Amino acid sequence: MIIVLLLVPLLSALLMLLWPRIAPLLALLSAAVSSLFAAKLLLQVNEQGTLQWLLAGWPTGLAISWQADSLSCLLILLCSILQLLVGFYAFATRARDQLSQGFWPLSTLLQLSLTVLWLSRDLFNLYVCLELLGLVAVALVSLSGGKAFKPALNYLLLSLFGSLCYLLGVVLLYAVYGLLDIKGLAQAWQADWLSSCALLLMSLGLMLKAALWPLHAWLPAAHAAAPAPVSALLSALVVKGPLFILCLLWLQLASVQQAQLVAPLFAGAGLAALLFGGWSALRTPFIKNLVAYSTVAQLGYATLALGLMLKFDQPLIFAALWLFVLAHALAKAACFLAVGEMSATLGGKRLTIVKGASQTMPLAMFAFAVAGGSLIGLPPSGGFVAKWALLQGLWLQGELLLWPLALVLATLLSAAYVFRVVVVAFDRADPVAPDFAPQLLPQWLALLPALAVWAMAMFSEPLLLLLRLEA
Amino acid sequence: MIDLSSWLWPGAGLGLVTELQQVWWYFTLSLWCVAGIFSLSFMAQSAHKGRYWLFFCLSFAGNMLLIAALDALSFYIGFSVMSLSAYGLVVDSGSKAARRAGRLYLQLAIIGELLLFAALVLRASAADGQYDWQSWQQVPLDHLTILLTILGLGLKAGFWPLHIWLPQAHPAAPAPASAVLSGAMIKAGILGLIVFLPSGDPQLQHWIPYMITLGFISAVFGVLASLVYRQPKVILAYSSVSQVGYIVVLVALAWTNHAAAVLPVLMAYAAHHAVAKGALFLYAGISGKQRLPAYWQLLFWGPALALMAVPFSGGAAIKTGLKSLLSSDLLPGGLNAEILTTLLSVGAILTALLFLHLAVALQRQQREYQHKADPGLALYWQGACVVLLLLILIWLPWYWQPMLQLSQYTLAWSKIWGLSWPLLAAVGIFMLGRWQQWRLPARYYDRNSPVLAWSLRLKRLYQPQRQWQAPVFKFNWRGIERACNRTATGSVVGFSALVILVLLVLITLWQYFA
Amino acid sequence: MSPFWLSYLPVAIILSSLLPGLIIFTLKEQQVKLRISLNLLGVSVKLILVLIMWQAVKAGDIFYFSLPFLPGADLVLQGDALSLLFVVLSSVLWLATTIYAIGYLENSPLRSRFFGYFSLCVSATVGLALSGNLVSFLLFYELLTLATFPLVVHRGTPQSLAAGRRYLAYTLSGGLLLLTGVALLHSVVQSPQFIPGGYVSAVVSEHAMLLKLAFALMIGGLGVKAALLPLHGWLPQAMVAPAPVSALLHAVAVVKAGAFGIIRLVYDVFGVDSMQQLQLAEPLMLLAAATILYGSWRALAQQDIKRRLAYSTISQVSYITVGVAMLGPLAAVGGLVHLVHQGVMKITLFFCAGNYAETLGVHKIRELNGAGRRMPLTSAAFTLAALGMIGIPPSAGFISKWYLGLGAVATDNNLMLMVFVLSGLLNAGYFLPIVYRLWFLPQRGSWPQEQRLSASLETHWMLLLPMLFTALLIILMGLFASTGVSPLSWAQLIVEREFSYD
Repeated sequence: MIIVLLLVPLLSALLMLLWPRIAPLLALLSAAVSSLFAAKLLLQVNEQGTLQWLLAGWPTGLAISWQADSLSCLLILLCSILQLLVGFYAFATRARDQLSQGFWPLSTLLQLSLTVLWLSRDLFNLYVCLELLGLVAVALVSLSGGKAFKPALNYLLLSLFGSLCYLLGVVLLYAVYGLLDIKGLAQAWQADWLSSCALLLMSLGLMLKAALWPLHAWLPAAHAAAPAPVSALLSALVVKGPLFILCLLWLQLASVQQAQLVAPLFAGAGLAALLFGGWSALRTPFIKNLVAYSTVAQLGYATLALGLMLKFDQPLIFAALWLFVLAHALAKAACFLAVGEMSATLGGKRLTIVKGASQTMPLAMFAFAVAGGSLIGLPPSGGFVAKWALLQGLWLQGELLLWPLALVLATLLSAAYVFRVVVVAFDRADPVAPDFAPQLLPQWLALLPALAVWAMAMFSEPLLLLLRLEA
Repeated sequence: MIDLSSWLWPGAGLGLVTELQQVWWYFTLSLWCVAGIFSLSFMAQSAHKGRYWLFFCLSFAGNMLLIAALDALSFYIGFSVMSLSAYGLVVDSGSKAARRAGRLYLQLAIIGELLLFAALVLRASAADGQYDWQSWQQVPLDHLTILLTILGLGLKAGFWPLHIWLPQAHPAAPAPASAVLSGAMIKAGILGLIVFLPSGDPQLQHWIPYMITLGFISAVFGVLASLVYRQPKVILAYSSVSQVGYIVVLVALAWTNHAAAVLPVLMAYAAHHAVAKGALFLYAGISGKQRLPAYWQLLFWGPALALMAVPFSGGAAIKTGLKSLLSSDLLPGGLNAEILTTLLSVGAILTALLFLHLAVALQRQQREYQHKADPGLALYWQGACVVLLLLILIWLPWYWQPMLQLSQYTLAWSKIWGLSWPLLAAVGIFMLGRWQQWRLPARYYDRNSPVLAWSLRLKRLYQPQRQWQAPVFKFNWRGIERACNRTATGSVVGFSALVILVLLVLITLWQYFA
Repeated sequence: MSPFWLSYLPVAIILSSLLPGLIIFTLKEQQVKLRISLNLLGVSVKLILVLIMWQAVKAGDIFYFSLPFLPGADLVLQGDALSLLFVVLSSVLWLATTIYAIGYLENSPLRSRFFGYFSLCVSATVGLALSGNLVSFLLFYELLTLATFPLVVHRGTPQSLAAGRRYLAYTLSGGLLLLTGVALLHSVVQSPQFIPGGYVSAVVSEHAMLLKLAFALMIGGLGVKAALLPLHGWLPQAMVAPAPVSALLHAVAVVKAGAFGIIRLVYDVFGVDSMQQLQLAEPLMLLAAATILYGSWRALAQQDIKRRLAYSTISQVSYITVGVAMLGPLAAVGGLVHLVHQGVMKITLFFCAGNYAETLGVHKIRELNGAGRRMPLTSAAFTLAALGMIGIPPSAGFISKWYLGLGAVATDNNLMLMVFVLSGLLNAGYFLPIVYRLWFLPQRGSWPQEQRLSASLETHWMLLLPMLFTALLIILMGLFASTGVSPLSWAQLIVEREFSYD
């Protein structure tokens, strides 16, 4: 089944290059098929436990091996569903936005690389995926045309630099242990200076690619410059790839002492991301930058959770980490689509264009607000469940004051920047007139993931159960 | 008796069960009716007739309700309705003085209302959720409750030093309104003092001497204060203060274990004062509007003489009754009967002086009108009302059982002499005073009371123009932000690479040393 | 045993306003008739359902409905006596406010949106009343914030946007505090259903500090909506909203949500015994008492009618908190019944203020001179409600103050009795001057912006009718407080059930 999940996007990407005219159709079809199979895989994994494949039947350590646990399946499912949704959006707005033909194969390749990434448990495999992912993402950003070249170039440079760092770390480890398989490495692991250095190198590379504070500087420009569907994909999915690897490294490879040592650093970086990202989102005059900075801030939750997880080793916190990721993916996709729709229809990229949008484009605005609710963590949304799990985890560890207080502050900041937009949208004194009649379908498409993230709260119990088992 | 406890609250009911209630009911009802009939003609020219009648009827209803109440809550409802709607009567004319007086009245009425509320709550709580008078009789009092009750009801009853609204409100209100204010509403406070504070309560006994002292101070103070005013209605108001003083003495005596002996006198005093004071206010109202024929003065002297307690009048009967109570052995310890009876005689002289002073004031007022008024129907209608009250006044001591006994008691020669000499003394003093031109310097007369200034100050307190505002802290965030932005411009790639390098070095070193 | 469908009654009650609300969002501006019918349909269905539930709860039934949500904390809807008090209040006043709003907003823009959010707001309120554990409560508490925000900024003017910002800043921070508190408590004892007597008593001695912290956090969160002293700043600002919204915010939805939450917290989460053991009641009571006095004092200086009413709300809502915090049965009756009485009185006052603004263009108190002649019915209703607020019998306000007073004496809190007396004086100080202007002063010049909204009546009948209805309720609830259908008897029933646990 995994083969199907990999082959479908690969083949359809190839076919798209052959027949560009039916590219959208193929892209949607492949996303739909992948979604179905991903769901099926999830069910299967749920029943049978973690599945493992070795390519071409070679023994462990040599073959390319794939492992599907429930977290990976969940992420694959998320990835393909978002792909489908964004594809629909791109298709619905194709006449207006003049999206280049390149979008379809690139986005399908993006899906492919991410799927492989979620499944890989091998440092080199992961590197390949990372490299592919970075290149595809840069290409997607540059679809916007001339304005986007500079941010895309920056992105490319840093992405390559990050990959290089990562590769360096891999090479170091390979030189010492002669292994690349994570499981194998973990068994042979020695918490010495060299392995620490390798871990550090890899981590910094990954942080750069995941735009974790303080290495986030490229992200706002790149995400803001990309076309709306692309930014949705980038923000919702792409940055999560390196984060996944980071988690693998620290939770499965690193020894307890190493983990304990860096835990405060991660937590601190997360907190700083929350505060500085939130502040920047609160102050930036451009609406897409606001959403992009919000990504920086929200990634801070994940970093924070990672740091706390390393410190306390509490399954609830691990669950919180991935809940944050899931909720953020859905919410951010909705945000970017809604914002993209509004800035396309109302014309402009400043925040002030949404003046009166509650009247002129109520659906898009509603989508933004609903998704924003999850970013803030209002109940009953995915963000709320994640925050709840994190708080519960912290309190179970007897951590009463400092971190909860930090969470409260961060939440307040996120509320501030979300409602900064909403309040402007309710300004009826001088509404911005739409350049053309707002299209309904794209707005509904923007609303869908937002509703999904609220519906996620209804399934919080199984989700929490599932993710806690993975820790 | 109407039992409303199934509809309203436990113990709710209306009815004239005790003699006290019956007496109060009838004299209040007659006074209100006469005042109403009087108003028909007297207020016919008023600009706000509808408003006047609305408030008149409301306070009438409230007054009757509180008398017929068989439980504290009904009493309180009637009391509130009465005192609040009386405000509409006080400010009826809309003049500046009336509005000032009304403000003072309302301020005190609300304060009294809330003090009474607190007292009621304390009392009801002590009575375990029962509200009817019977249950309350059994429940012992405490000092706080007594204090609150006396203050709350005393503000309505208007004895010294709680009288301050009386001399302001009475002159400002139209004559029939002053008549009911002074005749009926003041008595509502008195009624409350009797029913709320059960006689014979051990804690209450400590208060009796002080209340008697207060009563006498009030009696004397009322007269002395009235002498420096020349406006008839102000003098009448002070007369009420003085008379209420005597009633308060009686109320205090009724709080002893000998209530049965005191209550008849108290009822007689209240009824008599109500009717007489009502008549006087109505008369003052008529005479304040036009020049009257000389024989109309009979309408003044009738009630005035009754209040001065000339022999054979109702006033004589009740004064004698009061005197006999004070000299009897039901006085609580610490009070000297002789001093009190002497004070009573002095009081009688003073009362007489007050009315002589009033007569002069009325005459002075009459002299201001050059031409005689046409004695039209309206005038006779109004006169007839006063006559009606006068007839009641004459009827009362001889045909009403409780007073009849007191009146018969005064028929002895010694009593007649005892009643007459203070009057003669008063007349003598008054004549002497006029002949000798006893006068204070002019600035002591008709002064504005300081309470108006207090009332104004209070008003400024609750209607402030400006208030403390929470300070607003402003901080130049934008400036700091600009400074940060200026320093942070540069290449993204370079910056990120630098950060990575720095982090790499720092963390490696840290790991190495840790 | 109740039939099967009855267990869905709580859900149906919420849906009866939620569904019309959602449909209304999709309507066009011109579909006035359809919108009105939908609204009224929702109101009537809700009232009928509430009536059914009322009968059943009176007989001793408890409705229960749950959905799985968080681990250890299901989404529970529960219809018991206390929740029904609030449900009935909000449904009846929703009826009044809906009619009023239809009249008030006639011919103004964006009505579909307005009524949509209006219904959402009521759904959230009712959901909050029916929620059966802290997590569900939290959920509806936040939804209420979100649903009311568009109403506060409905006018879309700079002032209303500023007010909306401030409203959000306060209520979201409050919600966050509540969330933290609820989560903390959840980590200690999970979040079982509300139950008379509370569910923390088992861990009181073990986790005293944690419980205190959680209580403080939750009171902080609820105190924002209930406008407790340092957290009241949003309320006077929120006045810029249209009159029906202010009426709803002040009388029913928002402030009451806070007060109701405090009641739940004290009686059904912590319980009287634990509150006493943890010594939490005293500080809460003093804080509320300070709020009573402070709100009244600030109201004195306000020159804008609605602002003065807003400060009055701050003061009046804290009576509920004081009643609850005194921890005695009589005081609890007073607090609970004040929840209803204050709602009815305050909504009347806001209706009146709205009528003056809409008919005469009057917003400032000094412009009210002589309005009694031009609008006698409105002014009479205003007077009645103002007297009720002061606590003059036989109005409803007297009943609640009476029970609060009795409760204060019964729990040896004579200080509170003094606070009530003082606050009564202050109430008189800021209400009676308005009444005086209405009736006793002559009109000054012409009205700022007069409109003839009706040929024979002083203003539009839809503005008049709800106001007269609530004004009548004030008197009826005061006079017939002891009958079986009065809020007082219901409050007594609640207190009986709350205090008779073992």
